[in-house]
Amino acid sequence: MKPPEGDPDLLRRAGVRCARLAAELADVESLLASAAAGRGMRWDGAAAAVFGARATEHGRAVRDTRASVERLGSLAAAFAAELTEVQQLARATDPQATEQARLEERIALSRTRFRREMRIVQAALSQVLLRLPGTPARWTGPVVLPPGLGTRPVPLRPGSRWTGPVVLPPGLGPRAIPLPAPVCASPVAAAPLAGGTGQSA
Amino acid sequence: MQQLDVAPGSLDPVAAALRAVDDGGMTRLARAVLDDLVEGFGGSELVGEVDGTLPQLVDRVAQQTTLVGDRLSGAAAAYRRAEWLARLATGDHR
Repeated sequence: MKPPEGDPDLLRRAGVRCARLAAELADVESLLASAAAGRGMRWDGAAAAVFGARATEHGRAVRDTRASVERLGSLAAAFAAELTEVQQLARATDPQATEQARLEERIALSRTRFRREMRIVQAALSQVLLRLPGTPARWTGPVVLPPGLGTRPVPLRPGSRWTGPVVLPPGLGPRAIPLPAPVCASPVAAAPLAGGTGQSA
Repeated sequence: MQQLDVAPGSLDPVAAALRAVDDGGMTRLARAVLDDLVEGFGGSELVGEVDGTLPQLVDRVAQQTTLVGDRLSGAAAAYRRAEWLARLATGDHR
């Protein structure tokens, strides 16, 4: 048996990087918390309520992301340890021994378990992503319009003439551009003179 | 109705910090995690399991954080204006 494939060092590094990412997310969390509860002037009313709710909701999304990242990191670290151990055992034991078959089975089991855990974390991440505002599926690819509908003119084949309609920009044709009706202020009653001489009683 | 304690002066640093989150650092980190995982696992079985959701999510979280920061600095500016107007109206021209 060749030593089981996989690189525990890379997996360990993934774990360390997950911890770093989780720490950064925790920073964002505490920033959001202090944004939702500063000190000093009182801010209330609908705007404050909307902002508070939004900041809190976003804080929850950040927290859930962090939880998944931490789980990912610990899974990677655990699998790295398992892989290291099995690889060492595989190198130490006799290639023909029955021990090898047991090792092979053990690592196959671990790999399957790791993949299943990854799927679970993946599903959790997708859930958070779907909950974020503004995620509804949006086409982000190129917009391809049929020829002639875009801003680029359709090139005429050499020797052919334009036979389509001629559309002039507004104001250049025989029709005048309709002007908007003038806006008149409605009459207002005369304001009383400042100072109040008592005549208005 | 919910009440928040805000001071325009103390909001600005928080808003600036929130807006600075989206510098792409976290997204790069998330992408590196993904690469390490797939490569460290060996073979290609994990590729189907973990697609780009993690970097995508982290990127969106950072963007959303910027939005929250924008709103916060907008509110801080509005408060400064309101305070200035109130001072003007009460004849306090300092």
